[in-house]
Formats: sequence, structure tokens, C-alpha cells
Amino acid sequence: MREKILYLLGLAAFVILARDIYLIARLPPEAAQGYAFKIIFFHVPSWVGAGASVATALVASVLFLITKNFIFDAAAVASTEVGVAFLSAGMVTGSLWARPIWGIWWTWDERLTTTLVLWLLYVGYLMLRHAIEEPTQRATFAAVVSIFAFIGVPIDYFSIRWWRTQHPSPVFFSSTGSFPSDWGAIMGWNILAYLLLAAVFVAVRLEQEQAQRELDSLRRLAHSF
Amino acid sequence: MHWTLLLAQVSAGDIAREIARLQRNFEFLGYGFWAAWLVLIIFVLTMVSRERRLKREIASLKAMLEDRQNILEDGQKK
Amino acid sequence: MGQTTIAEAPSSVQPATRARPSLWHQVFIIIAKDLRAELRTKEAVNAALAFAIMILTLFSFAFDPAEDETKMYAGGLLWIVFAFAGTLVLNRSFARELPNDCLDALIAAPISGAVLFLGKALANYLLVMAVELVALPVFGIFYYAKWYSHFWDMMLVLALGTWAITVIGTIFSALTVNIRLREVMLPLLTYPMLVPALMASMQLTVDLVNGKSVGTDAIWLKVLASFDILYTAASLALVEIVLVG
Repeated sequence: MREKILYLLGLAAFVILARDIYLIARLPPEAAQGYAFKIIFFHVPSWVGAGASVATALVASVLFLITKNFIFDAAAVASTEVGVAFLSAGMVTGSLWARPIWGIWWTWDERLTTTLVLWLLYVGYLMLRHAIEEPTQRATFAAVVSIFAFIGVPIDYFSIRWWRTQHPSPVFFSSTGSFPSDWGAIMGWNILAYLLLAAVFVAVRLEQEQAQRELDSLRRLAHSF
Repeated sequence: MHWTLLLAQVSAGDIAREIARLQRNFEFLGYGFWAAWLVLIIFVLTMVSRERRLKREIASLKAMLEDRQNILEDGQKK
Repeated sequence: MGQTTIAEAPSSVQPATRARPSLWHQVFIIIAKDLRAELRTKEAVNAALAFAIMILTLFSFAFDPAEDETKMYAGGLLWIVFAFAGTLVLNRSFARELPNDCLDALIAAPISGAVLFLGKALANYLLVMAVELVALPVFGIFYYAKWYSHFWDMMLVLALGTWAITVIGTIFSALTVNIRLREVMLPLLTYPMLVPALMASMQLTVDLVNGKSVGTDAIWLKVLASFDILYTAASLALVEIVLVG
């Protein structure tokens, strides 16, 4: 039953994305940046998905430290992994946009740099998990690292205002940008689809983590014979 | 050479350049879409392979444990 | 060094006959113990200092120190050197307690995790600071940098930046002490964590080396100070979990 719901949600996300791609292809090129501007329809939802995953990871880590319930540890790994995937998607799409518009693949501007730093932090988190064998210690230490890493997120967000930056200011939630309403609607649907995808990925990985724990306990049982 | 001809030539070059720019622009839109999908596909594929590995290992371990259980029980009967 | 920890222990093991020392006294005992253990061998400090000077030498091949342009980023190089050398000291901080199970004894001692952490962090702070204070004039000579033009500003940046390195380094040193690949995991986790602090320190040091006062980039002083406060608070709150598990 649960699996079927997951598959249905994944399918819904896929349908929305397919419909959006059709709509996006029919949109006229943007006045100043031409077609490449349309990458934003995948760039921004990637960040929203990554942000949601990373926030989930923080909540799960805090809950693990409070309750010591391993389901929260599994949720933390699952959402961190999804977060890393979406952060990668955001950086790659951003880079592919920057090449025709700025003429460079990468710029050491504040927001890009701090995003890369966040990515490194969460990759470090995943590597730390690999280095620790004992489950309780692994879960505890990983949760602490996750909390420490998340403290970096606000610094990331505010630094764009402190450092002179090349990154275009956010088109949404700000008065300077202008975004036509039908474009906004497609963007909204795309963000929804990405969030759905993130949720499905996290749910599947969560089940896998629990299966992994079952596997580990079976292994211990096999050794004890 | 008359100056209007010069102007016409320049603008023709401009148009060609503009078309090339749009073409290139479009190309990168395509790369962007592909990249966005590729990352998701890679993630799904790693999930699927992990799922397979987990299922296989759990199945083999369970079979092994059952075997041992049976051997133990047989031993106790005797 | 392991034996020193044991040797210190009896003074605090007789709670019946003696009143428990105050919190700051407890912190002081930890600091004194760590400094004594380090200064008897000086292995981490000497290694860090030699390492710092070696990196300063290597950087002189990558960038020509005589060029004016180098002045624009020499301050940045300095903090890379400090971060690298600091890691050598910090790596030893908890690893030193592993032989003879000294770490378990410390955790079992009747002091809170926060006191232990604070003591260790302050001891590390003094050691890293000592290494930096020796490396700084060497840097000044090698790179023709007038770091002393705003002496007390420089000391302020040094104090705040070093505390950032030590507080993060100490908590992660406690975290990685028992795991495989300790020497690799510590820098892997601490350096990305330290980025805002290093960025701010580098910016301020570049200003100072070029004869400006820290007032010209006061925002980075605030970044550095808030980084210190934020992560010190987080470390004190979480250290008990890290140590006891």
C-alpha cells in the first residue's frame, strides 16, 4: 500500500514535469537572455528541493538527539542524500546557465561559493557516516555534524547582501525582479513537482535505511550462532 | 564603395552573429534540461541498485539463518 | 603524556575530604593538565611550527613575494598557514588521551562535558596562538608585510580568528578521535565549516597588511565575532552528547 502511494506520487511529479517541459518549450525567449533563461525553471526548483531536504535533515537530526529513535537517524541520512543530489542539480544547471550568459562556468561569487561550501559540508557528513561502524555513535555524531552544518545556512543566505555579488538578485519575493504571472504559474508547478520528487526520494531512502538496519541486525544474529 | 553598402554589410554580419548567439543560447538550454534530468536519473538508478542489493542480501541472510535454525532443531530432536 | 593525566587525577579524586573546585577552577585544572602534557614533549607545537614555516616557504615559490600584487593576498595565505598548522595541534588534543584510556577517565571525572571542552579548547587556543605568534613575524619578514602597522587591530583579528579555528577544531577533534581515518576526517569536516571565519579573517588581515585599520571592513569583524559566539554556544550545548554518546 505504502509503496503504491509512493509510486503514484512519483508518477504525479513526473506528469507535472512532462507537462511543464511542454509549456516551457512553447514560451517565447526572454528579452535579454534568450532561451537560456528558461534553465531557471529547473534551477530554482532544485534549490527549493535542496533547501527543504536540508531543513528536514536538521529537524530529523535534532529529533534523533532528543528521542534516540533510529527512524529519525534514517530520515536524516535520507534527506541529506537527497539534499546533496538537488544541490548538485542546482549547481550544474546554474553553471550551464552562466556559460552563455556570463561567459564563464563558475564565478567565486558569494552565493555560489557558500553553496559549494554547504555541498562540501554535507558530503563530509556522508563520509563521516561511512567512517563510523557503531550505529549509535554514527547516528549521534552525524546528527551533531548536521546541526553544525546547518548553522552555516543563514550565513550563506545573508552573505549575498554583504559581499558585492555577480549573482542576479532573486526574482521572487523581491521588488526589483519582474516575472510574468503565467511564467510564475509554471515555476510554481515545477517547484511542486520537485518537492514531490524530493519527498518520494526521501521516503524510498528511508525504507532502504530501515532495511539496512534489519540487514545489520540479521548479520549480528548470524554471527551470534 | 558607397557608405550605405558598408552599413548593409555590417548589419548582415550582425544578424548572422545574433542568430549564432541564439543558437548557442538554445543549445545551452538543452544542456541545462539534460543535466537537470541526468542528476535525478542517476539518483534514481543508485536507489534502485541499492534496493536490489539490500533485498538480495536480506534474502540470502534469512535463508542462511533458517538453514541454521533447522540444523539446530534437528540436532535437538536427536 | 598519558601518565600525566593519571598523575593529576588523585588531587580531584577525594571529594569527601575536599570541597569541589569551582567551575572556573575545574576549567583551569584541565588547561594546566593539557599544557603541561604538551609542553613536556612539545611534539605538536614543534611540528605545527615547522609545518607553518615550511608552507610559508612553499608559498613563496607559487607567488613572488616581492611583487606588489602579492600584498593583496598575502593576508589570505597567512590564514591558510594558520588553519593547516592549527589542525596539527588540534588533531593531537583528544588523540593524546587515547593511550591508557585517559579519555574514558576524563569523561568519568566529576566534571561536566562543557568544562572539559572549555578547558581543552582554551589549552589548544594558547598552543595555536603561540605557534601563530612565532609564525607571524616570520611571515612579515618573508613577505615584506607590515603586519605591525596596526598592532592591536592585528592582535584582535588574530584572537578572534584563532578562537574560531580552535572551537571548531576542538569539538571535531572530540568527534573524530575514535573513528577510522581520523587525520583525514578532521580537516575534511573543519575546513568547510570554517569558511566564513577564514574569509573574514583573511579580508581583515589583507586590510591590515595594506595599512588600513579594521574599521574599514567592520562588517567582517562582526561576521567573525558572531561566528565565534554562535559556534561556541553550539559546541558547549552539544559537547556532552559528543563525549558521552
